[in-house]
Amino acid sequence: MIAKRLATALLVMFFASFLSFSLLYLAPGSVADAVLREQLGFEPTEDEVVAFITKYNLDQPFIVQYYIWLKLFVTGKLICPQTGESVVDEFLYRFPVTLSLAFSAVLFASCLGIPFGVISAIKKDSVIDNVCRVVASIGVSIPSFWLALLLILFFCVRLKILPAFGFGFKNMILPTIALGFHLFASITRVTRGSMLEVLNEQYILVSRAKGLPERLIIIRHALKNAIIPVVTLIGLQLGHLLGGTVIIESIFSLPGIGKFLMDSIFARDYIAVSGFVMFIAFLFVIVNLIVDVVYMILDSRVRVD
Amino acid sequence: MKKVMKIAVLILTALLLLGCTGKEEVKVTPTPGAEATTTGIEQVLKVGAVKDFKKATEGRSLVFETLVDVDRQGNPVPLLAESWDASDDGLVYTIRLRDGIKFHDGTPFDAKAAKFALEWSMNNGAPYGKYVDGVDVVDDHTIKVRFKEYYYPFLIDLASEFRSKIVSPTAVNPAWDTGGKLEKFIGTGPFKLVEYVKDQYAVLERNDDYWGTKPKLEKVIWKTIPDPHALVMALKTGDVDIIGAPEHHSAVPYEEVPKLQAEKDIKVTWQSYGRFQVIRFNCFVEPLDDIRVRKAINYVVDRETMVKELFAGIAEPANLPMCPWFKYGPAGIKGYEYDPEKAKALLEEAGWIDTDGNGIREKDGKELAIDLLIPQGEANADAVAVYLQSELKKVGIKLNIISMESSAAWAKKKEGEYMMFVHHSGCIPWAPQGVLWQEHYTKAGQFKHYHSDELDTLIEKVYSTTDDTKRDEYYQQIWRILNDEAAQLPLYDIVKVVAYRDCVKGYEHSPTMYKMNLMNVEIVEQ
Repeated sequence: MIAKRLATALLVMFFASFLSFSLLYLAPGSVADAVLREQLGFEPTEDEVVAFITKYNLDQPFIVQYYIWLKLFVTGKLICPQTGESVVDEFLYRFPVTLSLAFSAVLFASCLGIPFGVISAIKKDSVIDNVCRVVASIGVSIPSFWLALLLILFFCVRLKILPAFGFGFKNMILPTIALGFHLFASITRVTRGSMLEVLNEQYILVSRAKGLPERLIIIRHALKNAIIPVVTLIGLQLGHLLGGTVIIESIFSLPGIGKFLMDSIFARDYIAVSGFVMFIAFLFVIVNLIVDVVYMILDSRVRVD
Repeated sequence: MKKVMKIAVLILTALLLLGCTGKEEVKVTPTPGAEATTTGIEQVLKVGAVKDFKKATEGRSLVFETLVDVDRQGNPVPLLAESWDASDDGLVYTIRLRDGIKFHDGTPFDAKAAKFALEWSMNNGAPYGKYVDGVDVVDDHTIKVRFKEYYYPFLIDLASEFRSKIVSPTAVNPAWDTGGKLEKFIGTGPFKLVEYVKDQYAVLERNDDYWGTKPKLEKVIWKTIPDPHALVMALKTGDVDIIGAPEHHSAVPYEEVPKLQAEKDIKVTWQSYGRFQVIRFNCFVEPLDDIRVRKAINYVVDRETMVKELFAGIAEPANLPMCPWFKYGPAGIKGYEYDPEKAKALLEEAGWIDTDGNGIREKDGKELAIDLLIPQGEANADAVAVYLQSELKKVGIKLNIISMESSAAWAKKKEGEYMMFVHHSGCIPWAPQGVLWQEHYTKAGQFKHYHSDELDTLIEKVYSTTDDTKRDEYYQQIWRILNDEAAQLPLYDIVKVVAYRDCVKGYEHSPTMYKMNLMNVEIVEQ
């Protein structure tokens, strides 16, 4: 089973990277122009452009370029035209940043969202329930960059209790909230809906009839089954979350892959982008694997398969 | 129970991951034994920058210097080189270097090192490379650069950090190899790079062995903050002391200026570098192929009012194709003044008449509609575009605003697929010679929005004459042509805005846009 998964992973990786390579290659605009103009501050001479193009094989026919790219990637020698450094190094430098950001956002969203959703469901139609639902509605509507700037304004400029920039434990608090707020709101809503459904199931009635304490019913029986759609949600929203890291990384000055990818796309750096896409595609397959394993832990029916 | 354990393990690993990643905040400790200033305050300047230190020429210029520098007008002035001579035919430059200069690691800066640095630069694409025959060491402090062909901008190119920085032969790998890769930041500059974390921050310390007047600052911390609004907030919180200085295009949005000026512990200052926002006309498509239409547009824009309304008077209006106070800049040439009646008359004369009374002129059944292409990220372009749209409508011209992603817009410019393109007139050291070459010289490839045989000949003369006075004459003829032909629409001087906290004293704008002048800066009581 693992072998099949890995084979799929490789297929996905190569297909995704070929797609991004070709799309960005075809897009109008030249990476030589973009990078040199950025570095110089004014227009480069044609000689400088030609030197750049030759250095990175950008004048070769498409298939030759892709072949060179593949060869360099597999041997780990792929150089990113924007920075002149190895693509692997760039990825490994930035990936932990985005990973911890995304991870903490998911953790924040779940640790807050699930209890909110559960309490909302248990105390349906009470004041607490209505407050939670309003907060959740606001949460899905707020754009993350707006929230980010608001948080900085409040916690850094006015209250001065948190640092605004840099990368350290304290620095991750605001970005996590800004990135995870949307997901937290969605998780709250989904948990609430799911819990309400589960609480009406027959086996809950049976547990109550058996005389089990309510808390045990909620946590061990109801929640375990209600959480399954939440896991699905997180899996689906992960791509959205990674996209959201772009703007959060920019605002909080976190050197992650999101911002780097965005800059690379604007610069038409298909060499670096395709390299990153390979890694990200691989990660997505791994994440899917983890999600499936979590399903298996939670839902014994799946294990039978 | 087993499941709870599993979940607990997951959460614990998560917390561990969170705690282990990330680096500590940069802690600034005073250098032991540092000279106490009169006020006893730590002389550390925190600079907020949009780009990473190593990627910004303003950052690198703190560490690396060049043989020659340029002044505000574009005249080459001595820096690491003390003086120079050129032979009459301009094919041999003899450059005398300053004595007693050492690189940050103690390597002496002498003729051998200078020769190495120039050859390394040429291997890395310096434009004079293809014209140079060779570099010779004459004695310990003199080098000779021999040319195959006369190359007039040589000294100007020598002043560009990106193209001609003097790197220590020990800074490349392998050392002393002119084809080597720059691995260490070892230069001769007033600051040394002591710590660098990519895309986050860099720490520089004063070079106590600097050959010139030493800076008052002991440390400079360069913090990378890519978002302009976050940058402004960092200044307000005191996370950084100064912003806008390390960017050659203004990183401080003009609309933030009044708000910053209102803050009591922040000062805002700006400087003109002669860089005008200029809209280039594609003089080969209808209706802009008609000189009367181009002139009309130049007459219809009220630059004074625009600058006052859009920029609260921060920028100055500009109506010449190039800054007049640059060396070789237009002298005694009058640009177009606001005259909407003249504009209307020209349009009528050109046959553009509003026959159906809808407010837009027509001719031969076609509307007088022009597309304005804006590459995203161009300073203030959106505000200016909307302003232009309303102004042009007043005389019956319909302006369509097309805002396009930067790379795509530039691709269109290269191919000539535009009608009006928001650009700029360049600043020292690229202007004026580089701009002419890029925008008007037909043999330089790419689409030229205005060109002619006469212009080509003049540009060639500018580059090939060794007589400076004649060169100026040719330049003046070029400016006259560009102005008479109304080949472009100059708008305003894009000033560079710098904002700093009032603990920063002695900040002076550098003479040219691509450097940061921190030499007289000191930190005082706030």
